[in-house]
Parts: sequence; structure tokens; C-alpha cells
Amino acid sequence: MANKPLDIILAEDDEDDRFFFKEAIEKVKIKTDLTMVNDGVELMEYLKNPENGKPHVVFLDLNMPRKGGIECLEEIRANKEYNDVTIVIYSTSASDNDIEETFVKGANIYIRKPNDFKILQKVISEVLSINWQYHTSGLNKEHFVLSI
Amino acid sequence: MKIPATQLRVILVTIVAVISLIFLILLYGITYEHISSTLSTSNKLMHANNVEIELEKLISQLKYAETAQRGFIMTHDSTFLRPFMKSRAEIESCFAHLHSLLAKDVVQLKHLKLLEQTVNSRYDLLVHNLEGAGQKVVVPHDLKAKLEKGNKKLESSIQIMNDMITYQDESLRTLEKKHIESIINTPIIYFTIVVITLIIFTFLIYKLDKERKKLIRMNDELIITNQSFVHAEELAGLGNWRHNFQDNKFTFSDNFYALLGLTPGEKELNLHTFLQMVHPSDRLDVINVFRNAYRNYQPFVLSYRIHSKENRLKYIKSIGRIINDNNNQRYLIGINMDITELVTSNKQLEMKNRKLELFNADLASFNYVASHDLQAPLRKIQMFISRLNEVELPNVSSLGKDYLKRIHASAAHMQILINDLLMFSRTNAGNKKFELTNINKILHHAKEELTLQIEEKEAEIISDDLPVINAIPYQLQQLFINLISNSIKFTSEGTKPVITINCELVGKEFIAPEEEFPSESFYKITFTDNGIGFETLYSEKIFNLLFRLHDKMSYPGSGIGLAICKKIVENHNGIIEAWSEPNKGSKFFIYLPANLS
Amino acid sequence: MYFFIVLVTLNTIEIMKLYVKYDIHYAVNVIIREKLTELGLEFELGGLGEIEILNEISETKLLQLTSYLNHYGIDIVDNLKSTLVQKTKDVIREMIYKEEGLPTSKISSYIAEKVNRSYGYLHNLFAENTYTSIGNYIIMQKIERAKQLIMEGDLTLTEISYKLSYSSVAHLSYQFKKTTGLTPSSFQRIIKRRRGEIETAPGKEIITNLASTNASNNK
Repeated sequence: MANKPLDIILAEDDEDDRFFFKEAIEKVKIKTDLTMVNDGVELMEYLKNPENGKPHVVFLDLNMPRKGGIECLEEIRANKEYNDVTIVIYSTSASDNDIEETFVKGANIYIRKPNDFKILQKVISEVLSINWQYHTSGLNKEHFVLSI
Repeated sequence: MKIPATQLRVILVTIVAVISLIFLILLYGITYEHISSTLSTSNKLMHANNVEIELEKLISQLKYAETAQRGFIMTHDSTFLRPFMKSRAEIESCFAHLHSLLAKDVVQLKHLKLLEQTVNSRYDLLVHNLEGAGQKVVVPHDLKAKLEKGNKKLESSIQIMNDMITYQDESLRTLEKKHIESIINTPIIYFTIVVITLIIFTFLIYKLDKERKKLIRMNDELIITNQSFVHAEELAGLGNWRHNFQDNKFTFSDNFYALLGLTPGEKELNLHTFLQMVHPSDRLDVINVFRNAYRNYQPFVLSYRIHSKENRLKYIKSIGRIINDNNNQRYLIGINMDITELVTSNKQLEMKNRKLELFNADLASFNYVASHDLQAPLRKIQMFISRLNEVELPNVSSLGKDYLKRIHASAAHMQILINDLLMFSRTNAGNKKFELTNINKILHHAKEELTLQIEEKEAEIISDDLPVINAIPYQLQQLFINLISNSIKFTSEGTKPVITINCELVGKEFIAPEEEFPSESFYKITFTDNGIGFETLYSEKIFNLLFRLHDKMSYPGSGIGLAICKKIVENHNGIIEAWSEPNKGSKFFIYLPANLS
Repeated sequence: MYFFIVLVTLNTIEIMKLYVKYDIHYAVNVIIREKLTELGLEFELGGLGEIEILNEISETKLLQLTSYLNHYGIDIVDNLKSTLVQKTKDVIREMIYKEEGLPTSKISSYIAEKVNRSYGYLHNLFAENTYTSIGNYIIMQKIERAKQLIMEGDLTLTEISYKLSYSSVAHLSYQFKKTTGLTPSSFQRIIKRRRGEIETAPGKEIITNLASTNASNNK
């Protein structure tokens, strides 16, 4: 498993944020295969396409045109097939209550978009690392919640 | 069962009347008795007189016979014999009369018999003497003896007659005595009965008069009450009505008509015509409620619309119920109330409230959106700065590096500002549901949230056992987080923060007696720290939005944290105060209502 | 090793959720024994993921075994370094999941003794192969264990911190928050809400034995 690259999707409408994310994830030690979509509708279409296979991690921005992150989260979690897909909310800071709501709806990780590139790099690295630990060390995925 | 006062009075008057009737009958009886007794007494008197007269007659006849005898004896003239013979017949008739008179008197009859014998024997003697005289052979001494004998008989007859008269007189006297006695008592009894009857009648009349006056007074009052009621109905926009079940008659008050835009009694108003005036979409409701009232005797309260005759839409509130009066007549009584003004003003108020709510929501969402959406571009500015710092720094001059540093600091400050503004707007809007909240748990959660800061600065938090209050939990938690983090932040370098949280119950007079508070007692929660403190003169200003005491470099902050605290405490109808002196630590006092509802 | 897994029985009409406890080692051992016996191999199982094949094994049989075991998510690690890392991980997990609590001796020497290599060597080896350090791995496993104990609900936070050798509840809370970004209470609330055990809206007080014991601590 360690040798195969992680399949990662980022759903993000902001071009700058996609740019930063791409740059940051490339510097992470863990090998990744990044796909980027512009909004929720594109994301769901991508996931429904059988040619694309199941991603390991989905990064979701909450505020997107056409279909928001929460809607995507609910749709993905409604499908049992995607049970073991790690969902990371990648959004601007929100209240603790809003963050808790995403966890209750099935998100595993909530990332408040950092304002420093180094921190972004660190955060992505941490997320992928912990995700890897959960996969390789047989940890209880039900308990997989992390707020960064 | 309780008898009402009026009924009691009627019973009393009846009793009094019956008593006086009995007295009158009694009076009549006594009078009758007296009259009949007087009558019998006078009868008896007459009877006694007749007896005496007869007896006197008898004596005189006897004497008459005597005289006739003597005359004959002396003269031998037969003319003297004629009256003698006549007297004999008279005496016989006298006896016969006396017998009939004294038939009932046993004693007198005895006397009468004796008298008859004596008189008869006397007459025998007389007859004998006369025979002797007729033969003309007269023996003088024989004659003398015979005359003496005759005299004796006469005397004894007179004696018997006197006895009879005496007896008669005596019995008459006792009779008279009895009669006089009864006649003396009669006026007293008459008088007493008349007086009693008079008293009773006077009482009766007095009572009746009193009742009458009372009735008049009640009637007057009723008229006044009725008038003021009519007036009140007009003023309050009320109209009442009743429906008698027995005769199926409807009665409506004047203002009831007025409410419907009718003049009193103008039109044959009944349930049907009334229902015609009810707004069509409310009619079924009204009918159902009435039906229920008639069928199940259910009282009702109902609001509906009507079209009055002058074609105005009115909102009416009706209440009604079934009652039974004293005569067991069943009524449905109801009151209609014109609530049009109330409804209109309520609607206006509602509209204003809705506008205000919308306005508030607009403001809150503006705040939220503004601060939320400001975050994205700011974050990107910061990102680019960090990229510049990382990648391009070797190509930048020292002045450029300084600029970069300043831009970075400004952006950082702006971020704090936006974050805190966001939190402030969340405190204003958001869910404000009060529930019973254990402050110990709130403190625990606050400490959990601040665990990184607490560990880092090795802060110590000592607290009393805290009470349970009615509060908005997440706001209270925010309050505790802000106050504790404030205390931890404003501690001089090298000092371990120590925060003490005390709690006591105080009366409302302790805070501000002149102000109105919803609670009688308050929990005073005091946060004491060993921080750098501040000038006492700022103890009120520090709660103002965006007010700061320190430069951004030494103690970065937005000046919003304590404003949030104040907002939260105000949301809880409480008060927050602060006291401090430089380097003497500071105290924050929170007063929160202690009532649990 | 005991874990909670969620069995989801999907019917067309209703979903039944069962929470089960199982010994992963025992399960893996059963699978390995079954598969090896199926291929007619003689073997001995070592303590920590070591299989000693006693008879000769052909290339095809090895490939067959690899695919069999892969089906259950079991990788054959022929690399000695990987074996050592796996062994270290297992030692750490075993240490943390012991019912009687963590060893009293120093953890580094405990691991070194168990794996039979110097700690320094293991430390470097671990960092090279796992994107993390032994120290972080221990913390992560301890927090995972704490999560499990919190959700079991039998122990208070004080008891959990004692069981996992934390100096205080505050220290456990601190590390929990640092590792997960959440406080133990909000973690508990989130999982319970996910399971539908409580419907509490965020910000509402939840009934938790974690808070009550902690509150009495500061007196």
C-alpha cells in the first residue's frame, strides 16, 4: 500500500486555492495522485463515473457554486460503497458548531484553510499521514475525526 | 338546598297572615259565645219574673176568695159567691201556667206541688165553710175554729209562695252574678285580641312596605346598572344576547345591533340572519361551534369576521355558555366583542416586528457575510506574503523586507479583527435557547477548549462549586473562555497565571436597586487574576467594542473579546463589571439571575 | 488486541447496527492457519506476525498465498526492515492495549527489549518507513485507546488518564485536543450524534461522566 500513490480529489472553486493546494501537496513525502474539480456537481459526476475508481481522500470546500460541500458530503456518506473514503472539509474558519455538524454528517477531518503556505504544507502532510496510519494500523475508522 | 332570602321573606309574610287570620277567627268565636250567653241570661230573667207574677196573682186570688167567703158568711148574700167561684178558676189557670213555667226546675216543682196541696186544702175548707153558712145553722165557736183553720192554711200557702219567690230570687242572683263576671272579662279579652291582631297587622304592613321599598330600590339600581351596562357595552364594543330554549326567543342588547350596524330592533334578527352576516369563510366554524353548544352544552370562545350592515369588515370574538335560571329555564347566553382594533393594531405590530426581525437578520447576516467573506481574500493575501517570504525573499531589498514584515503584521491583525467580529455577530444572532445549565460543566468545557493555552502558560484555575442557572450554554461557555483567556493573556512574562473563580448569591438591591430586574436574587461570579491589571478609570470602557489598552505588538487583540462578554451577560439579563489597578491583577464580576425559569 | 468494528447489515427495509469487540490477532491467525493449511504447507506462527514455513515452497504457491492473504488485507512483508517496523508497531499497540495498563519501566527501553534492537536504530527505521516518529505513533495510539475508552463509557476521564499513564486529566485533555483538534467531550458528542444515540444540537450540554469527575477535580 505504501508504494501505491494515494488517490486524492480536491473540490474547490477558487483558482488560487487550487493552485496553493497543488503546490503544497506536491511537496509532501507521501506519493499522491491529485484530481481537481471546480464544484460539487463536477465532483459527484467524477465519482459516479466507473472509469475513475474510488479515491482514498476527498477534499471538500464548503462554499462552492451549483453544489456545496455539505450536499456532497451527505451524498457521499449516503452511499455505503464510499464508507472508507476519507472526507476532508477544506474551508474557511467556521464556528465550532458548524464544524461539529460536518463531523456528525460524516466528515473525518476539518481543515480551516491556513494563511501561511508552510502551514498548509504541514497540514496536508499531517492529514495524509494520519490517514495512512488509519489505513495501515487498523485503527477504528469510526473514531477518525480530526480538526486542524 | 339553600332557600334564597326573597323566598324566605315570602314565607314569613304568609305565616304572619295565617296567624292573624287565626286570631280573627278566635275573636269571632269569643264574641259569639258572649252574645249567646247574654241572651240566655235575659231569657232566664224574664222567666223568673213570669213565675213571680203568677205567684203574686195566686196570692191575690186566694185573698180574693177569702174576702168573698167572709162577705158571704156575714151576709149570706149569694152575690159574694160568684167572685169566689171565679177565683177558683183563676187559681187553676195560674197553677197550669206555673207548671209549664217550672217544668225544668225540680226544686220549684216540689215547692209547687206542696203549694197546690195547701191551696186545694184551703179551698176545701172554704167550700166547707160556705156549705155551713148556707144551712143557716151557725154555731159561733165552730165558725171561729173553722176560720182560724182557714187562716192557718192561707198563711202556710203564702209561706210556701214566699219560699218559692226567695228561691227564684236567689237563683236569679247567682245567674246575674255569673253574667256580670263574664261581661266584665269580655272587654279585656276583646282588647287583648284586637291589640295583638293590630300588632301583627302593623308588622305585616311594615314588612310588606319594606319589601316594596327594597324592590323599588332594586329596580332603580337595576335601571342604573342596565344603563351603565348599555353604556359600557357601547364603550367596550360589546354586545350580549341570549336564547331561551323553551320559547325559542332571542334577546339582543342594543349594542349588539350596533355592532352589526343595525338600529336596535330594526330588523328581525335571529340566528339565521346573524349567520348571513358572518364572513363566508368563517361561517362553517361559527355554525359548528353553535351546534356543539346546543347539542353538548359546550361553552365556547371563537373569533371570526362579519360584514356589518354598513359593509364594514369587523373582527368579532364570541364567548358563550349554557345557563339555567331559577325557574329552570335554559338559556344560551353569549357576548360578542368587537376586536377589530385589537386585530388591526396586532397586525401592525406583527408587521413592524417582522420588519424589525428582517432588519436584524439582515444586519446579522451582513455582519456574518462581511466578516466571513472578508476572510478569503485576506487569507490569500497572507498566503502570497508567505510565498514571497519563502521563495522570493533573496530578491527583495531590506526596505522591501521591512514592508513585507509590516504587511504581514497588518494582515495578521485584520484576521484577528475579522475572527472576533464574526464571533460577535454570532453572539448577537444565533440560537438563544435558555436551558438549565450547570456552570461547573461550562467551566470544565471552557478549560478543555483552552487546554493548549493553559498548559503552555501553566495556568492554574481554582474555582468554587458553581451553581445551576437558566442560561444559553454555548454563550456562557464563550463568556468563560473569553474571561479566562483574557486573564491568561494579560499576565506579565514569567508569571504563572492564577485565576480564582468565586460564586455567591446576592439580592438584587446589591447591584442597582433603582433598576428593574427580572430576578430577585443574582449569582455574583468573580474572576480574580494575578495579571498586569489596568487603570481603574478604564473599568467601564474596556467593555466597549474595539476598545484596546495595549499596542498590537505587546498584546495582540481586537478589542472585541470583552464586548462579546458584555453582550453575552446582557443576553442573560445580567451585569458585568470590572475592577483593577495596574500590577494588582484584575477582578471581573458577573451578576446572573438566579431564578431557574 | 481488541477493536470495535461496525457491522452493517443492509436490508432493503431497515439497517441494524451491531457494535462488536474482537481480537484482531486471533482473527488474523485463524485466517493465516486456514490458508496455509489449504495450500498444504507446514508452518509455525511466531508471536508478532512471523510465519516460519517448514517445508519448501514453490514460486506459484507463494504467489497464491500472497493473493489469498491480500484478500484479507494481509501483506506478506519479506523486507526485514518492514518486519521490524511492524513488530515495533505491534509492541506499542500491545503495550497500550494491555488491560493492566502501561509498563512502569521507560517506554524506549521496553520497546527495545521487546523488539530486541536498540531504540536508536528502531527510531530511525520507524521514521524512514512510516511518515511519523515512534513518539508520535505512541501518542496517536494512546489517543485512539482513549477514544475507545471514552466511547465505551465505563471509565471516567480521570480513570482513563490514569490507565494511560498521563500525569493528570489536564494533560490527557491537552494531548487529546492537540492530536484531534477536539476536546474529549465534543469527540464523545460527535460520535454519539453520528450513531444517532443523542440528538443534541451543538452547544447543548450533554450528559457525560467526563465532565463531572473533572469538575470535582479543581476543588
